[in-house]
Amino acid sequence: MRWLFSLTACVILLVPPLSARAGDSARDPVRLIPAQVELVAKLNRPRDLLETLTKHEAVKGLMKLEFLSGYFDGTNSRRFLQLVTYLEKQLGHDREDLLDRLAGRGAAFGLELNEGKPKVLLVLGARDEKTLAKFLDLTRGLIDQELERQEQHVKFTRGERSGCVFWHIGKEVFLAQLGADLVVTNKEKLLHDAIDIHKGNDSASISKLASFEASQKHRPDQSLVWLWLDLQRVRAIPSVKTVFDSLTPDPQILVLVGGLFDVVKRSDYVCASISQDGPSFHARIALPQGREGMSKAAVMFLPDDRNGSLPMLQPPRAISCTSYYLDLGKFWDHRREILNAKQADNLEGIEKKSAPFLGGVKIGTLLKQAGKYHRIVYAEQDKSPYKIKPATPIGAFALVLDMRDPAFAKSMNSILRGAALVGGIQFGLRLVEEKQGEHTLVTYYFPEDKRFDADVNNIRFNFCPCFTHVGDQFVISSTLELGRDLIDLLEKENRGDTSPATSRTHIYAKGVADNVRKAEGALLTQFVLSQGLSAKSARQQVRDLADLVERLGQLQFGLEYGANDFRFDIRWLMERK
Amino acid sequence: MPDTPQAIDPRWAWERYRPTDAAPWDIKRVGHLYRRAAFGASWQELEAALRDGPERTIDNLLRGRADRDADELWTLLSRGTSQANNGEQLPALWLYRMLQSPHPLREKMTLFWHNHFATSNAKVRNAGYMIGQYELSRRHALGSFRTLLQEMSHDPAMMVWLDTTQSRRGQPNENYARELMELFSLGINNIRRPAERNYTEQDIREAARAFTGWSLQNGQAVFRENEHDDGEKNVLGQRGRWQSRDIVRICLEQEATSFFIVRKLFRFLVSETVPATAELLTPLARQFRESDYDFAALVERVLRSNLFFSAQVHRTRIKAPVDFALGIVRGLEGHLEDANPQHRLGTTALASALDGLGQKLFYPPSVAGWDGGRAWLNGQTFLLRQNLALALTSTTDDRFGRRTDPAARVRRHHRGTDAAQVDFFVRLFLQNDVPASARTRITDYMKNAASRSYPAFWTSEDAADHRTRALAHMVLCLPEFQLD
Repeated sequence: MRWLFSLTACVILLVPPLSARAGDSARDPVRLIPAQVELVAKLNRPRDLLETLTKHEAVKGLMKLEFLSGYFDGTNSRRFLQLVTYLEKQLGHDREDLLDRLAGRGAAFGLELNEGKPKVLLVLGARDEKTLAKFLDLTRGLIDQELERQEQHVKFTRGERSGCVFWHIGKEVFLAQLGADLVVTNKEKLLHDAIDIHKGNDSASISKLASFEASQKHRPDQSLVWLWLDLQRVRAIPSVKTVFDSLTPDPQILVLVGGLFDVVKRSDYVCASISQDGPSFHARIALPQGREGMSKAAVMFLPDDRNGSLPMLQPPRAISCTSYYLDLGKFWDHRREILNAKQADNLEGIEKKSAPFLGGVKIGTLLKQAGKYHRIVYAEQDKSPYKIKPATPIGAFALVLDMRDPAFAKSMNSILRGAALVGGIQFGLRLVEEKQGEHTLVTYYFPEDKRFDADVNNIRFNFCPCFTHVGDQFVISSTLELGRDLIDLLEKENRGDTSPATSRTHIYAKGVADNVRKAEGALLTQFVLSQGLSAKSARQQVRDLADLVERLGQLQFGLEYGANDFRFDIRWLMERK
Repeated sequence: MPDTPQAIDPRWAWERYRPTDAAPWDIKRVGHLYRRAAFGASWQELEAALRDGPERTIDNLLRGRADRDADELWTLLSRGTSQANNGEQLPALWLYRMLQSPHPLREKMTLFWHNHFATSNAKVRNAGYMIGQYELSRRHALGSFRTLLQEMSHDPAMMVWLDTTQSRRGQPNENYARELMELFSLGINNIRRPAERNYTEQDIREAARAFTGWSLQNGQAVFRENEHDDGEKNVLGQRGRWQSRDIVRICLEQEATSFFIVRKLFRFLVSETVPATAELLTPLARQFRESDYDFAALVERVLRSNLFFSAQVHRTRIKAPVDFALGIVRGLEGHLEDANPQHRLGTTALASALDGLGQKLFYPPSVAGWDGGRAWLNGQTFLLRQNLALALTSTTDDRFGRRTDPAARVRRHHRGTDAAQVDFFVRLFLQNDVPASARTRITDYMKNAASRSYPAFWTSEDAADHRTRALAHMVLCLPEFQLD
């Protein structure tokens, strides 16, 4: 009966309420969600959300694109609008008014994960009890009619608990009006508990659970939507526990997930919220544990001061830049405290044999020479030094490494030249020392007249790898063009402009839009093939899409550890008109 | 259709079909022709062919019509796919051309060659090469098999697929030489003398030496003399310092090649169940050889033949997924711009559905191609076919929307009453090849559905359209629709 829930969900989504008024908190629909659920979500101001969805410039722009509007051409969309019109007529209010009356106090959602089929409970907080009662009658009638049409030979049956009437179809769908709240669930026990809470048994409510109460500061009232997940109980679910237990702090996992795994293991809950500021949005995932109490591995990921990451590098045609903190020197110094004895022994074994493979430098020395701030840049390629075009074009990317010791540049020079020598035998790489101002870029070119059977698609001609250093920054780039751009940027860089976030990524709409324009042929083809558009219309769609993307501003990701909390922020920054 | 003799007389079989009272030019034969020589027919095409008669209809199918816009669109789309090296888009690209083509027979025969020279982008991993091979097959789909086979030997996709690029003097790779003989020209066993093999392992080893020295440079096949084994080779009894094109020539000089290709065509165009005996195939094989492998002439002779239009071969093939899906779309006019309020049906979702049904174009499962026949159908694929038919006819599947709406089509063709609608869909999709019991079941459904209640917010038109869509789906789920 998934369709039944879909229909109910449609009805609920249809009813975004007006902003919550002062004094509504006591009648917060969340209070009817029983304490046994592991996940709670709430639309605080659903009407704002709906208006955001319908009036936001980006959404309006998207809806104008023919290749998307095609998806709303089916009978489902038409029926949905017919249903809305029918409800308006039967209930005697236009849709905005109706939405206000039926769900003005917000919509809450609870989910009991545990093993087996998920159990769901939805609560709509209405402002108009009488209209809600009519709406419930109408909805029941419509569902009964739909079931009859499908020849399912089942109907809603009346039930009662503690003087409260409820309606159900078998053991799968339950509906009840509890005062001004509409409760919908697929589990009888959840309904019974909601009724008991409604009747005064507040202690059974999620709102009385200690970790839920403690999360209040991470569930801002001004957010459009928030979510809370009980990590303590989720970790106890056998299948999840197995995954957690299997994760050991080996070096690769430490480098990949950083301290996140540590804070997730120690936190009782995780909260997420989305807020709006004009045309911009801010999503935050928060955990109630941070630097304090973190394992020794923290020395790798957390700086002693507030300088979490260096400024972003945004060369021309940049699509994204990532800046992060990772002190591998400290990892090496504290390896016996971070890793277990066997892992540390293995690492030291590799260290002893590493020098011949690393141009005479041992791993430990190299890690200690390296700095703690790193940046990765991805940009569109403009001019290729090759005449041959690769079958699959790949953008340019570069790694910019901070150096603690200038000897790092010499070490890397030996390592990279050694690697290129090996590569040269296989690919016939040609070394050229290119100049950019006073800097020398050690650059490698693939010969265009040499056969290479393993690369019939000419993927190698996406690359013209090079390396250099600018002050204490060591640059390895996949193309000479990007290498040159980065030298210019690093020479002018103001390094004082750091951020407390230990890992940040920015995605630039302008770069993405340029990428869209460059891929006009490929996108046009996709639009024609997926939506049957004419070539002319599809070309216009690509151009409109690129223009729209260009107006989207920036997408920023940031990860920050406080003393007693962890925050992962996603900001979509659009300029106000 | 009238009965034909049980033991098929080869002379009668390949003589030109001329309508008679016993074998009239009727809707069944029109439908049969469009299923085999195209990808099904729309209502207008069925009616036009009925009026035009077999000669003119087959002329039209053989010739196609020029459409510069369609050609320009193909150039644009194939370049877009090729430049992005979007291999996953290849099936949708070709399906789009199959649907919109002004020359469906050419696409159909290109599909035949795609299955014959089965090459998969799973290994080639180059959309441009795959499109190049498709264009090569299409160019000669109704042309010279000799030229096609020669050019296929140096086709970039084929060279990657069967490792010709790895074959050098002293280290010949046998893959291409083996498949050239086993799958592309001779076949393993002699059709006329089944106990005999057409070639030996030694022939393959010798032929492989002739294909050394070829590699790819900037997407083009290039011959490097210094990597070619220029020594003497003995292939199929002929001795010389053969190069690749000599090996192809020698294969074409064998009688076995004509029988092998003709038998494959017989199974593709005529029947999967009627035995393709050497006796039955001899006139076609002889014509094929004597015409220097003129494949168009061969196809034309088959399409115009008595056997092709006989009851013995009627619905004796199982529809390939491509035929199944495109047959529905063309019948419901999803490919026609003027039949759709917004625009035509795209093919991306269709390609994805066909993958589930076991036919992903440009990705055949092996060098032997798709097994076809009964292998197309099993419990799962039969259910998936029904689901695809539902997705296309229900209008509630957002991948297809209302582009193939049966209710819109009955309005377009003015079929208002229940009886008229049943007649319309049974004629459109099955050309009335429906047992009386099935027709009764369908008619009863329409009667019962008319008295059923619907949710209060549905209009009476919604209810009527819903019944029409369900009717179309029922017709498409009849076992007869699975037969080609």
